[in-house]
Amino acid sequence: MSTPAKHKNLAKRLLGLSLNDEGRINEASVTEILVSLRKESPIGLKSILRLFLAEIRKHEQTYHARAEIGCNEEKAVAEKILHKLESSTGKNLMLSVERNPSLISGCRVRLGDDVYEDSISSRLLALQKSFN
Amino acid sequence: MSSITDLIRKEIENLSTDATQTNVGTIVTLADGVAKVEGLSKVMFNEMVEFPNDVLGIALNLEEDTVGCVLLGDTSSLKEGDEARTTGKLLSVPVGKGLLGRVVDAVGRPIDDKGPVQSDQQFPVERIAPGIIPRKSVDQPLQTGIMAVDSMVPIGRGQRELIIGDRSTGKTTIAIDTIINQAKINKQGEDSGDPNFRPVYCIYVAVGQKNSNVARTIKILEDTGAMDYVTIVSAPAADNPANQYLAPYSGCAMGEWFMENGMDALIVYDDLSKHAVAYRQISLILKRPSGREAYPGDVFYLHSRLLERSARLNEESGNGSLTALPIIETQMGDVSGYIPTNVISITDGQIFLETDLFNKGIKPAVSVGLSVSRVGSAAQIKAYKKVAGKVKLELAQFRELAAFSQFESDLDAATKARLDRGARIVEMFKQGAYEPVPVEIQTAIMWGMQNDFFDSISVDDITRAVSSLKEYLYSQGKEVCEEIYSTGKLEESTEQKLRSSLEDWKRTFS
Repeated sequence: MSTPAKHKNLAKRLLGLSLNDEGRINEASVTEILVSLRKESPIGLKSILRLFLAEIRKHEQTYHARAEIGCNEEKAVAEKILHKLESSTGKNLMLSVERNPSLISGCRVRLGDDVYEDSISSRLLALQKSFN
Repeated sequence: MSSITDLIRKEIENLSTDATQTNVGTIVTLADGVAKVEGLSKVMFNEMVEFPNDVLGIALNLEEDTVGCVLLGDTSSLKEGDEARTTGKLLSVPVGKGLLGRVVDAVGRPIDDKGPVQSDQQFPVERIAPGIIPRKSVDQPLQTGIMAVDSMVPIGRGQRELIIGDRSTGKTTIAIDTIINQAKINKQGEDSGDPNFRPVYCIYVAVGQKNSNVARTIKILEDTGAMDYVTIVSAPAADNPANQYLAPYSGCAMGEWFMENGMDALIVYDDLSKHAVAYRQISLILKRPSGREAYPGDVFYLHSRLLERSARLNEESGNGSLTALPIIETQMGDVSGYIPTNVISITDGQIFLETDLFNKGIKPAVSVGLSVSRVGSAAQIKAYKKVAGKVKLELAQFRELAAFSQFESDLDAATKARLDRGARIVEMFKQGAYEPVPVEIQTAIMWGMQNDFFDSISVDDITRAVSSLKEYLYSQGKEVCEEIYSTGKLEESTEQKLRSSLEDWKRTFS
């Protein structure tokens, strides 16, 4: 097995150790892992830490939905979408909302690699494509 | 003005306003027309992926964490960190008769400044080849108009006949001649008003060629009036390897439309050596394991899945056909190379062009010994079969004897006669580029050769005699040629007419 592949596997195992019972990242476990890594100082520590960070980020995206809204009044819509996602995935999800004026109106919710969108900008884009 | 507003209003009304769900990813590396994308966890193999600035890609490598996408079009606007999204669609190209007379790129976009392609139907570029049940044996001829090919390596509709040879040996010329001949036959058939006439539509796929060569081919087809029946799919050498890889599949999808709608089509892949090289480049960038000559392991499948799509369908499936003429360039006449042997084993025969013959002025430089058609003879018309049956054997014997006769000073009469006949046949087969000869004229010339009409003419004069006979048959021998064309047979009465015509010609020829 090549070194990067070994590091990747190790990063995945470390991610497994960082999760709590709900499958979320546990800050205390991550701190503990980092301390022991620093102490052991394995070969390729920098690469392992980078891959570990990537794994943490990727995993966090699976339960942390990020919503973008066109105007502040639409926060409720994003929350409604989140509830629907919770019932369809069966997971307890987190939501962070930020304003994106380029949407004009409507919202865009990203969970993992999936993006759910209903905004004026997306409709205009679809209209533009239909003319092409 | 009101009609414009109505049009826009209608478009808006038809627009779906539901929330959309897409699967997205981020470009992590971008090099040589290939993007590695992190994310896209729900992407399917061969699915079209959308990048910013209307750049499209195809998901070819599905790995654990990343997806390898080959990019189509100008990738200079893309950068690492850009978002990629799935489309849920396979790459498709426009198909139909609206493409005839047009020059398009690998994804079916027009590049000839003649406006948008008139087509309301799309076919995916990658499709499964017809199975055993809808197929039928090859039984209809596809005349190339080249005497050496039509007599010795006849091609049938639905056949895959490889054209193979070194660079500059006339491979493309044979393919272009065949296309020109189809156009001539199509015009003749359409003018005759015969309801049973089946035109052959042509698709010429140019892969990795110089733009000047493609432009020259287009010019030739336009000048000969063949362009009305031809679609050109161009992925020149300057195009990215993804487009060069896709072009043959796109052309094939366009040809399949004709086949599946009960029509006949001919497709020329010029050439599959460069196609394999483009695929090798993509595979190496995608970090797929390489094998012999650095080609990936599935380079055989690359060509077999393409050529298997050419078929002759039976009556229940519409009776259509797609004939393929793939071209392969050899190095120093070596047919035992990796890609040549692969394609030879896939196709139903090959026309091998020899550099030595070409340099001796024997054009087309068809090698008798190495050229073969495994299924085409079943499709030859009876009249032609009757006169061309022995010619391949005679020519092969001539080549063998010619090699030995160099060391013999005293030859017996039979050997000398065989050598004389062979030399005359070689001269008879010499043919200029882009001058295909109709099958009925070919039959008459071959009949003349078989019946000793050329024996009294010196070998050096045979080419002139053949040209003279052609002219005679086009003008005064029309009646007998039409009889051969309409019946497809050489009855005794026809042979008598042919004899008197040729005797008449012989008197005038000096």
